[in-house]
Amino acid sequence: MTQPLERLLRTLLADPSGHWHGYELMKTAKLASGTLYPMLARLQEQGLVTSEWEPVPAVAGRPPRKYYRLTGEGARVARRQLERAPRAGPARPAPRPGPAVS
Amino acid sequence: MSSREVAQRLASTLITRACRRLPDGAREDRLREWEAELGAILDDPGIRSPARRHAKAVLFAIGQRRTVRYLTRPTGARRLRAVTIRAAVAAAAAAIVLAAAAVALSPAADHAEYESSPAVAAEVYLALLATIAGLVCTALVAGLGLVGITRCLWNRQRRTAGTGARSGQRSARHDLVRATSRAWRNARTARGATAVFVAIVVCFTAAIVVSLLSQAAPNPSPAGSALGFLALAAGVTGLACATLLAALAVAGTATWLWRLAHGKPRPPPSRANPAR
Repeated sequence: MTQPLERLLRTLLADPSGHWHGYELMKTAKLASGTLYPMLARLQEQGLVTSEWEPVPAVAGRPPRKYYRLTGEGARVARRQLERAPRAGPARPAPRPGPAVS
Repeated sequence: MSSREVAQRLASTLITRACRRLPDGAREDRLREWEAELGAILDDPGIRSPARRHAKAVLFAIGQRRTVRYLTRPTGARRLRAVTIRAAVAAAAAAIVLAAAAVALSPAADHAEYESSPAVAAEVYLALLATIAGLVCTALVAGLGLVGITRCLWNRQRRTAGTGARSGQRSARHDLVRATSRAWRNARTARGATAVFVAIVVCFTAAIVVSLLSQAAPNPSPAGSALGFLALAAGVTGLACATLLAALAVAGTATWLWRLAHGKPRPPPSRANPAR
């Protein structure tokens, strides 16, 4: 497992049921957009991550954003993979509000 | 126009340009997603400096070129073919450039024994380096070509065997096809060795013919130098093929000895293990 993937999985696993926007993931996992989005696409292809559009934009006047979250299988696989990877503690993302899901 | 607007317009342009390469279904979706993220980056309250926010937005947009490259990359056999072709083209271009450099520098090398200035020595050294690098590139191209041809033949044989299995289940012709394809599979190593042996013969013959031609050409001349280079390249490729053949022979002998020592017979060919 590559280090960027490990950082991404640790970030997602810090809040397995959470919804993450791309920019939030970039900031928390400290990844560049050109690294993060290909990984997200690959994880989506494998069914480990799913994405949805915000039904209502979190900020008025701004277009709705897409958020990503781990699937149940994704959380299981991520935990298993991270157990095998000997690394320091998990990433600690700042607490953030969830998306405005109606 | 404010600096925020400039950054947003620049980043939007970069994202739009990157998204052009995406297929129709994905283009609108990605464009919408990344444009929305752009707004979030430019309004990020966690970054105090506007200049940093603007730079982040532009970097975000630049990074999406890589994402698009990933999303539009060829996959499977197409990817392998694309990578092989790209490597072969790069190696061929490098070989041509280096051969030209070697030819251009070789007149200095021809007079090196009469002149011993540092400049001439440097030119001789560069010519030598260019020749070696060019030879390596030529050998690489030859190797890639050999691999490509072998893969093509192998795939064709597998397709033929597969078609036969599907269409002729009940016919005697099917049995013949199966027997032939099994024999073809069993003789895989022998076929590889034969191909390499033919390559050795061709390379050494070419090296001899071209070196004779280069001796016949007026010397020093660009044509003579180019022919000399080609002769050397053919010789080196032949040597590489000979090394490969020797490695195949050693590997085959070692496998045979190992099987003999462990008393394991060669496994019969099966559907689950079709490569045998």
